[in-house]
Amino acid sequence: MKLTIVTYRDIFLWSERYKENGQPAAALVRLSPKDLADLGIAAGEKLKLTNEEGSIVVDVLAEPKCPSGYGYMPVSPLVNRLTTCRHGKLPNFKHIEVKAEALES
Amino acid sequence: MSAGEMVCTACSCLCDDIEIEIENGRIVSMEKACRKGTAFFFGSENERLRTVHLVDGKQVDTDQALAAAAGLLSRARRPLVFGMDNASLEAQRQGIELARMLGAVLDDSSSFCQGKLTHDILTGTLPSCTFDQIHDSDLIIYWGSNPHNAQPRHLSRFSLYAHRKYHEMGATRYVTMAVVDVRESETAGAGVAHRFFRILPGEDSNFIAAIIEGIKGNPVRKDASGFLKLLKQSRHCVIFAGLGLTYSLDNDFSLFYEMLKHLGGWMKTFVIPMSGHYNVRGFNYSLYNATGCVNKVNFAGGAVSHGDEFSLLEQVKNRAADCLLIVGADPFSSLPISVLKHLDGVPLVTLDPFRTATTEASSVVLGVSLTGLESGGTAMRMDGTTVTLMPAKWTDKQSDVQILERLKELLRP
Ligand code: SF4
Repeated sequence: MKLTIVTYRDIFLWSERYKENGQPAAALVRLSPKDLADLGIAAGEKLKLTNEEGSIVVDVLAEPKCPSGYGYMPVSPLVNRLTTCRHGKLPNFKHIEVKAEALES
Repeated sequence: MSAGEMVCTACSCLCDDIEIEIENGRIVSMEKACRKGTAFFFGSENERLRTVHLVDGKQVDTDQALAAAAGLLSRARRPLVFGMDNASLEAQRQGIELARMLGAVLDDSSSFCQGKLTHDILTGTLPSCTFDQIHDSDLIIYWGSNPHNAQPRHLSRFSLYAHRKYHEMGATRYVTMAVVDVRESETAGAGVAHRFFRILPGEDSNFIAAIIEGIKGNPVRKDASGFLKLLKQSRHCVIFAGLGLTYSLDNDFSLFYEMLKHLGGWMKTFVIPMSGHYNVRGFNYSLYNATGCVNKVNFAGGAVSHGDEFSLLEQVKNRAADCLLIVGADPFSSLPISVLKHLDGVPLVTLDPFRTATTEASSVVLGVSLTGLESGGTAMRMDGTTVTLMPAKWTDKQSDVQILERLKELLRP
């Protein structure tokens, strides 16, 4: 399934950053229940997000009001494995196009 | 035990009412700071998270680290100085002078954040106000921002809950808060905002265009007409413009400004950019005073030139810089890896109180004190108010101002 990832700032960015284990809460994406059903996965399972920049594995959370086709991810170095910046533009932090695949649990 | 008040430098709210108690050189209590500020200052006491002076990964003394930094910068043909958004106004002045002395390119994170809005405020083309003037407003709009996470005390200390006319239990509402965002954030939902306008990602320009059509009397989509109705009831509105708006408009605010111009017919509208780092507005102000530009400048050849090609992003993508001096910034955590990979082989000299992804990638690290807690100075809050920072705790680390001064001395021709 194709998804557009939109990043947002989560307070853990700051509150966890200064702890020993860095950013455990970065590896998650929030999706609409419809997209979860279409992907055949449940909240708490893992999803692989891939584009030409790279690939990451994230936990899935359901966000009832997320529009279908979009996913919300916290800003972090993890999601920056998928972001790009075209000439003269701002980085695509708010519209990262990826392919989403469910991982076998 | 010593106790006193200090300013929190964990975000650009610069809350100046933080009560701190220090015993035997360690923080024993911190009152009034939010979760973000508390984590920031208690984290500063974890030595594993703090920087020491390093050259190629080996711990060295201050003189050795400064000599290595000066050596790299003096050999560079196209140096780039980046950051200073987490540095005092005094450090920024030193950094700007150093960049000028080196004939370097100089930029900060505002070139990919709120620099455009701050530029327009400084040049008088975008009306803005201070937090004190918010008490005159009857409408507060957070557009593409979620202070609950990024500036957690913003609402309680400076806007809605601090508003003189806000009454939680009052039957009449004198001040309304609205949120425009793509996500029902903690600020937008949970009964915080009175009105929430959810738009699709990237749809801000369509939403703004519809509002403009509505102002002209044309029929428009339902959400824009609801937003317009809210605006029409207002006489004095403050818009807190977040990164969500900047990124959705890809830094082109022409339509947004056109909307403000139309609104000017019946109401006063003020914009305050929701800055992140504690002194990013100060950097724009300092550089504007020194050069007439807020970011993206080049001091090569003793002159000042300005252009998009001098942004950190373009410099890195074009492999234009051959050495970077990074002060109080962590681009390796915040920028695309697809851009950062172009820095492979480029020596980095970094000043930071904390270990970060950027200090890990640096050839020379200069460990400095944490401004606000361990060293003082002045900084500019997101609304343009200057705040004095008084150190609350002793440290043997030098401040970024001292290190930059010494670096300047070593590099003076
Ligand atoms: S809102 Fe910002 S300045 Fe105020 S305590 Fe929290 S992090 Fe510190």
